[in-house]
Amino acid sequence: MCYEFPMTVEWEGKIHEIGKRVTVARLLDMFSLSKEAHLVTSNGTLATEDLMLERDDRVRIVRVISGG
Amino acid sequence: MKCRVCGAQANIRLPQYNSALCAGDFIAFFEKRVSGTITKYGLLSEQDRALVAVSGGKDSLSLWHLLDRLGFSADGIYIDLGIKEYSHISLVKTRQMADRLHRRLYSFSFSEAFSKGVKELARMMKRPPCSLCGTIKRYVMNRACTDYGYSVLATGHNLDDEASALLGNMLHWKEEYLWKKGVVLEAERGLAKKVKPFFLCSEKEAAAYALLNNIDYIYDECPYSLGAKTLLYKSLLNRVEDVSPATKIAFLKGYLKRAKAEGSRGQEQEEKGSCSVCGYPSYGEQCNFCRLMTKFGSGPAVRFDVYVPSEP
Ligand SMILES: [Zn+2]
Ligand SMILES: [Zn+2]
Repeated sequence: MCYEFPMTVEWEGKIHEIGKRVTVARLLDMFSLSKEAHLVTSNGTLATEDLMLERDDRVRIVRVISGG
Repeated sequence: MKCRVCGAQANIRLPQYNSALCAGDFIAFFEKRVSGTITKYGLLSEQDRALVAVSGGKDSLSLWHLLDRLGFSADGIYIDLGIKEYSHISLVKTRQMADRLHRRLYSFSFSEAFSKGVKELARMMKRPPCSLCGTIKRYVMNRACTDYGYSVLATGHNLDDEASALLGNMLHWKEEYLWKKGVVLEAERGLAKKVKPFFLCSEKEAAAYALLNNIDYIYDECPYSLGAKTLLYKSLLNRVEDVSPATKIAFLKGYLKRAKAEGSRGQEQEEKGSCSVCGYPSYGEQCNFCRLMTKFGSGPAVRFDVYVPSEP
């Protein structure tokens, strides 16, 4: 079996590694985050919830809600 | 998921409108929606000169960018609260936008105007920093409009800000505030017209607009922010929205309909005098701001720094 890079997910300034392919929706579920309160980018591009994130993708979760 | 307009890969799903759009079509859609709000509620006309209250955050910078794109004449007003890193970064971000749009940026420096910082002043006045800050911001932004001849003050308040505030007012039955929210607050004696073009746009839409337009905004919040309750109400509403899309917008649209009826009923105009120093509407001899200035001001006048970007 060949070695694959894990997916890196940046969330609130921390990098998390995820060892398997997941959709954006699943990723938000794994972090218990609301879809309406977060945006997800994959390699710098905004991604819809059905998009499958691949292992070597650079993923970032952006919180959109502020306390004001 | 495909873009509903062009069929390309979508970048954002908008379940509240039963839609999904690619980056370009989302930007066009969002600008058209805000333009629709502006027309429907009579927020701005071509003759208006607007000042946008900019904080360096995504909502206000997106609003400034968008009004400029729609062809309105809009400059920026920034209040520098003198809170170290936070204020420095937010000033940098607002200047970047002034440069990008080639628009003027007025700024008011708290630490130049007062001999004490926000936190210290709040403690001496026995008020929470946010509430003192609110008084100062409202006054100074209005003052910039009247001093420099701007007819409208535009703020970046979005659907989530308004829905969470409304929920808070309802949970605590703050009836004195309950029916006072709106997309527009018409000008009165001494007060400029105030408008909220993002009133019907969600915070997620505003953030997506900022991201897709490469708007560099400050992600952090004011360290004195007492937003804990606001965040709680917002997250409650978003959990509902996740399960039942378009709830927030229905909540606010229903509110606007009822507020129209409630607002016109029994609205006794409280007799307000004018501040003897500056003329601003006031219950007392001097307005709150002038009283602060008399006690803690380092100079006699309200002074603005005017940043004018060089021509391209
Ligand atoms: Zn498209
Ligand atoms: Zn005054």
